[in-house]
Amino acid sequence: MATGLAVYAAGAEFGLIYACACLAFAAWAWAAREAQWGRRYGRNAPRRVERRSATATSQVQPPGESGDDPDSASAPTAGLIAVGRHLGLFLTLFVLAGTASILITILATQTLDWAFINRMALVTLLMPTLWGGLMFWTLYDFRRAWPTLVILWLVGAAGLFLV
Amino acid sequence: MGLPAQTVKQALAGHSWLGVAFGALIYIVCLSGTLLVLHAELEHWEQADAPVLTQFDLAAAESTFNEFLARGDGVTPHMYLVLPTDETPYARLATENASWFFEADGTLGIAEHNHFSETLLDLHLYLHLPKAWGMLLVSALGAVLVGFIISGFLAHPGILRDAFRLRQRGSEQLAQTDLHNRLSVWAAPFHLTIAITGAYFGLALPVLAVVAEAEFDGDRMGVVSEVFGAEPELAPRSGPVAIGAALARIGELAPDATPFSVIVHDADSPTPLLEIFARHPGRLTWGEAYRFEIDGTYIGPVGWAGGETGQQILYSIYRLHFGTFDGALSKLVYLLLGFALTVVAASGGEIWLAKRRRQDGLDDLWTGIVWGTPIAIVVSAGIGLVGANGVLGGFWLSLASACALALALRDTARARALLQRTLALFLFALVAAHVAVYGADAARGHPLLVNALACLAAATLGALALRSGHRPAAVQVGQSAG
Repeated sequence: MATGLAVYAAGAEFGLIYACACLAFAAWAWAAREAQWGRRYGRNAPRRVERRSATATSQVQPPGESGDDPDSASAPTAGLIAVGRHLGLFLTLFVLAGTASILITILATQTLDWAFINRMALVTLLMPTLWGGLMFWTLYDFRRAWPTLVILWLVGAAGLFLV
Repeated sequence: MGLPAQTVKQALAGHSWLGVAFGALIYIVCLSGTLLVLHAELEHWEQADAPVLTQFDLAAAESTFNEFLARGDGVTPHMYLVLPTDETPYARLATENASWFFEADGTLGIAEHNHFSETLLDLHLYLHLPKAWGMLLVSALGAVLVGFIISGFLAHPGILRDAFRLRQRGSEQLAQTDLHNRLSVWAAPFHLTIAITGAYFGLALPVLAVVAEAEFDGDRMGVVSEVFGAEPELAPRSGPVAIGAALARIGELAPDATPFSVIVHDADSPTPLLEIFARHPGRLTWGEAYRFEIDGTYIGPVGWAGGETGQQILYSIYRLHFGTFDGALSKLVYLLLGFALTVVAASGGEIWLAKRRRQDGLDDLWTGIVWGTPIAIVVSAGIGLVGANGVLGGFWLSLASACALALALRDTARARALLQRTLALFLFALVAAHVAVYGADAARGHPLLVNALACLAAATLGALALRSGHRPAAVQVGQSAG
């Protein structure tokens, strides 16, 4: 109903945006009304128990990989291996998944009997969405090599079809 | 019904990896983007002495423009006459390298000096990196944001149960988590829109390259013509540019449209093309481009407002991303939603740090980035008031100093309170400096709005810093967290 009202008041294009905004504002207002306000504690307490110097690779493990190995910190090559894993993941998420999303969306939209400019608009909207989806899948899947290989295959196949 | 625990765990791990890798960049892009909703206002604020035109002598401005073209000195392939509108109440003559304001009588006045707002725009678009790489990186962050949204939803098993849950007392970590989740879940459609439209700007070039190879035998200009409209074949023409006649024609063609910019393409060639951009009320599209020969003979519209649906979508992306499509109302909505996204980015980092159950340099660094970035923006605005030099350096030096201070203090609560107070102080100082530089001009129109918002932000931050300053001291190292 709110969407209908917003579209009626502001036209279809602005109305849909305002309807989304109204949804957020109304929900936040309701949450604020229901919120439990009061004194907070422990802002730093648990975190000040132990203060260490940090290295980036010791802070977060690539998803699906355990960081509990007691020997990992002491092994001289552990840091390098961790950096390599993060770098590999970075390359998969950005170079491979990005390339795949561009190629796949262009290839997919070629199958549509649409005007060129309309296909390009669809590519513009789908490509970042697919890229984000591939990023999530790569990070989510236990079998790190599996999404990487599938994306690599997609890049190769879509590239061959297109060029 | 909930998601399997392993799904949640993996989604959360993926969400965290993205956050650790790109949290700081996302935060900087979100904060600068939120402020850029007020780009026109900031631009006016930093050049409050620009002549505001209630009456614009178009005929005189046209003469000045044509005299500039005839003189030849400083003429570039693209020449611009920017018309006054409600959003930008001044007119400019611009080349590709410089720009001057028109006085009310149509003569040229002072040069444009918008160093700060341009620096802020460059931060948002390129992160101050070389433009091609910077835009690619920032656009990729749009895809990262999509990844954040997907993983965030899957990492949130009680999304329906907790839809309105906002615990803001007791555990700070729970308070941050609830705030992060409520702000992000309910504004997800907006965040997704910002992510997808943000990705467009830098990824258009790689897409163009692939499409050119796949469908146009490598002819990139062919793709550009299809998307932006092919340039018309023109016979050689000379003589003055008939801007007034062309604007009058647009008045007949589209009485509701508001012309806002005049461009002469290939101004230094024998076949110049006159293009006038006009906004159409109620439409998201950036505008329609009406094409003319320079003697005012109408050629036709490009089709951004009335052409193929895809063309209209592509030309709606800019205003959909920056929220400048419906005056003050859309700007207010985008400011609030953009600020929420910035808070989501900052609180996401805080939550991840808190979950580690220990504190180290990363906590300090994050505090430095979160509170140092707005300080750096304020410092660069202050430097911009007195000149072009040092705006960019001032930004990064200030941010580095804030991070160094937080790292040196080794106490996030103290660093946060100190940086909040510094930011409040700098905001008040910035307003004072602006009033000192521009006098009465600082207290009217857009400059007044920006100064008032700066004072409001300073007062809020001051109160926040004082409140956090009265909190119980943090538990010392080695003491039980309890």
